[in-house]
Amino acid sequence: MVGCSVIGATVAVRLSDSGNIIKVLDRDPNAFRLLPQRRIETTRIVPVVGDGRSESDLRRASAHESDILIATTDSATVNLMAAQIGLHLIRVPRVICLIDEEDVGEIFAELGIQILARDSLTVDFLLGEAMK
Amino acid sequence: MYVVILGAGRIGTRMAAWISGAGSEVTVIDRDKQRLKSLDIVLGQVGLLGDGSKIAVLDEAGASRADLFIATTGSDDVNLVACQIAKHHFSVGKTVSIVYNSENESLFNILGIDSGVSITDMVVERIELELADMFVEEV
Repeated sequence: MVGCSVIGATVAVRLSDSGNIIKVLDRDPNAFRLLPQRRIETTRIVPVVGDGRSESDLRRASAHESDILIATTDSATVNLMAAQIGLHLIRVPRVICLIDEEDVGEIFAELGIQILARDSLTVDFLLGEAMK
Repeated sequence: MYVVILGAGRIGTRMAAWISGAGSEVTVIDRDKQRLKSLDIVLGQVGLLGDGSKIAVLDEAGASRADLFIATTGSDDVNLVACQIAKHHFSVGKTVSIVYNSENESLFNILGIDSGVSITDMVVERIELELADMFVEEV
């Protein structure tokens, strides 16, 4: 998990609930306050201080041994870079990347990255609610 | 020739002045109003306020008719993504980027950025050259 944002921490906990080991990379050690202390103590969620734009930091978070890399920092460009380092340099089997805008997403989806765009997710959700 | 430059810092500004002096048209994108103001004073109305990693901003900068895109911000991620959008969405012929973390140079190459210039490597090499005589092996 690149980025211990509210979204990143929530997804980390959910994935950990279903028995996965999660390493969470964030530049800011304070961000790890969003993670449940008990999961950290039992090393089911492992916080790692580092930059998702750095291959060596991603490797310190064991990206090379991971099945999936999910980039959820607040910056779309950081997420796109981390995802592409994961895909091309570290060869993580699957990368998912959170960005702001669908139109940028289309470009990177064609480059092999699974994209989630905040704007289209919100629109889809609102439409779904409206159609109920 | 039409050139779009991302980043109105020292490097972006000097590149813009050089390109404009060579008779080519240039637009410089930056998120900082103040930096664009000082650029416009020197080069005329060449600045565009906005986030260069957004398609709408690159569109407004006329990226679709640009021959060359140069990314000079201090963030490798912004430079990389902007170059990729310029290349894949706007079909800019040539993309050039500064790379701060030299560890990232290979990523820029793999992803098709035509030229990634590693600033850190360049500076270190230059300093080593300047200091070479101090480290001659003693016989």
